[in-house]
Amino acid sequence: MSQTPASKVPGNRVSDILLERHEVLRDLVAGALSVLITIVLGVSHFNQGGRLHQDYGAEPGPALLPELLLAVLGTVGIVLIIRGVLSGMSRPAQTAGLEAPDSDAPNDPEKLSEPAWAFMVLGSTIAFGLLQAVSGFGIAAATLGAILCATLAYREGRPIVRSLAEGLAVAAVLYSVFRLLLSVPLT
Amino acid sequence: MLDVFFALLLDPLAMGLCLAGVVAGLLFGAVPGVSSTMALAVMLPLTYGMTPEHAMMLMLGVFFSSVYAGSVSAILLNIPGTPGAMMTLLDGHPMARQGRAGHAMSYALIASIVGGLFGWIFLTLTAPLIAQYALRFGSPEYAAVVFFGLALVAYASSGDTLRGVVAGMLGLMLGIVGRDGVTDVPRFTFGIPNLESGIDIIPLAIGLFGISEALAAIEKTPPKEKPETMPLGSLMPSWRALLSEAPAALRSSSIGAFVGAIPAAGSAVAVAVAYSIEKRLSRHPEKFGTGLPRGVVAPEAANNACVGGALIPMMTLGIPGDSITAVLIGVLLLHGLRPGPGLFESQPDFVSTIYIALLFSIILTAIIAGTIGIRVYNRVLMLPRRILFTGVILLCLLGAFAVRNSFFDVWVSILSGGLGYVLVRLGVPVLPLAFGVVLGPVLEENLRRTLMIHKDWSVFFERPISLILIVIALAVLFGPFLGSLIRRLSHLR
Repeated sequence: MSQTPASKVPGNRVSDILLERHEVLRDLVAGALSVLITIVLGVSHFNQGGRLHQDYGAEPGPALLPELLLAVLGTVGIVLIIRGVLSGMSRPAQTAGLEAPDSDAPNDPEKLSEPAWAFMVLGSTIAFGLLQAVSGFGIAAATLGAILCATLAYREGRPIVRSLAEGLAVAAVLYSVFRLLLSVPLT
Repeated sequence: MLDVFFALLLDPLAMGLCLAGVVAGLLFGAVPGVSSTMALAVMLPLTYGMTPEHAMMLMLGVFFSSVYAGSVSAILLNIPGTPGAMMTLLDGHPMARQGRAGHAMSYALIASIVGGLFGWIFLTLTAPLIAQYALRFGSPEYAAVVFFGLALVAYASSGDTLRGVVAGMLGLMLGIVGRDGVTDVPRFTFGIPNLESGIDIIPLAIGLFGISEALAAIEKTPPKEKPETMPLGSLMPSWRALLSEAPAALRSSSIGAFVGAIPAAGSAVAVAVAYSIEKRLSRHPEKFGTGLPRGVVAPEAANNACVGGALIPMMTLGIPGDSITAVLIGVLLLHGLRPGPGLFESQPDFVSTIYIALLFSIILTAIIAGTIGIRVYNRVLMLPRRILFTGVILLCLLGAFAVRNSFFDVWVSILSGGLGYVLVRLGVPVLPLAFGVVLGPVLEENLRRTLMIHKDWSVFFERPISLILIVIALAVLFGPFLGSLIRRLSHLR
């Protein structure tokens, strides 16, 4: 049987196939993470000394539920990996000869940059956590506010200097609300 | 209930908080990317220091009004403000493009109020009955209810049950972190002293529903794009036109209230069902999607009726029906109250407070949205997203600290925000995780109590209620796999 040329494949079929590839990858990563978490928590759980694994006779001990949960999480993780591998193995036969449209290409810089923005913001919050331990809440909140606002303004194509001031103002307003109105002891 | 009604009505702080909640919900819900859950997660720390009654007035105000306000951006921008508004845009935005944005928003508001009142009546009539019945539950039934709820949430909250189960297991494990209540043995604490008292649900909910949703919204924000809104035109349709939509509003309200009461089904399911039923019943189904008022009325009545419905499993069984009620459970736990049938027995006045707070929220939403909201929404939608999301993230971090004045809680919210975002990227739903954290201790307590008393797992299959719940849960979890296996085997033959 001849392969369908990529140019003649309807767009929605190409996007369906890309979606399925994406799902396969998600299954593999989610499965691998589940197994990894099971191993890490399992090692920690079974190596814990003290009374955790003491014999409680006929009564259920404190280790019962954690062990049940670890067993289910590990099993589901393995099933996800198997499902991902099986789906991935059946996929090449269906996708051979098909080319993804440019805008949906997995290495499209525009697509790749989207989660990068979120991770940049997440990184800023982690930096906030570290900074507040050194400088206190006020300075850390002001810094985070300015950085976040400037980052988002850059993405929107807005002036960065003005957005730094906007971020500082947002931080100052919220800090005042918590410190003065709600009497939260922000140091 | 009447005494609670007047007590709250004559309490200026309570009414002020309800009004503030309604205004905040109307603003948050209208902005695309800010869901009702995020609005509640952001407002949650502000309830610290309030009485439980005042906290519920604020939070239910945010809850109800933000669900309605999701329709605003659906109509004006063609972007649903909340998942419950996803069907509203199909006819709401075409109406706006035809110069009838004002009419569409009035239909949405009136349908939302009708739906909200219907859901409120459904809640007040059914919740006491269910709670009375649930009071007869023993430990096996409770453990089975939690298992049943988790299975439903894992199945319904994403397209993939297996990934939902992963999230549920992670949530249950997070829920039992800390010292065991019976033996005082630490579990999954890794020698970190702060983990010995367990992971608090509040900073976790702030992270999962506030920070992670903000991250997801930042990722999705189309860059360098200024929203284009629509002129409102005239606001009120004729009374005759309004009355002709009444049957559809009532039908959709009943669907919304019922679907809302099913754990994890949520407003997205309710609006899809209500819209498709109205389309099927219509003499002109081809007109749906072209700017038909009924296409606005049906989903808006359904999603606001869901509010009352979603409170039923939360109040009567202590099970969060959706992510919003998971946050509300966090509010109750923050104030030392555990929802469930015991609440109806030990705190009947507080139960009445929840009913009345929802009723006031509906009334104030009607007044504020009807008089001011509709006219100012075009300006609200122009709020710069950089300021909005900077504010949301800072509010989450400051709020997480404010709950217990603990930097550890700030780290919990940052890490759970990151975890929630990564899980969403992997197609793993976050709701079962939150569900697991809330219900992990409940499951463990009842499972262990059952096994201590009965010494045998067979008790779960000997008692009719637990047997039925477990069978349904197993059918929900394994039914799809067995179905596809049978189909594949029949193809092979």
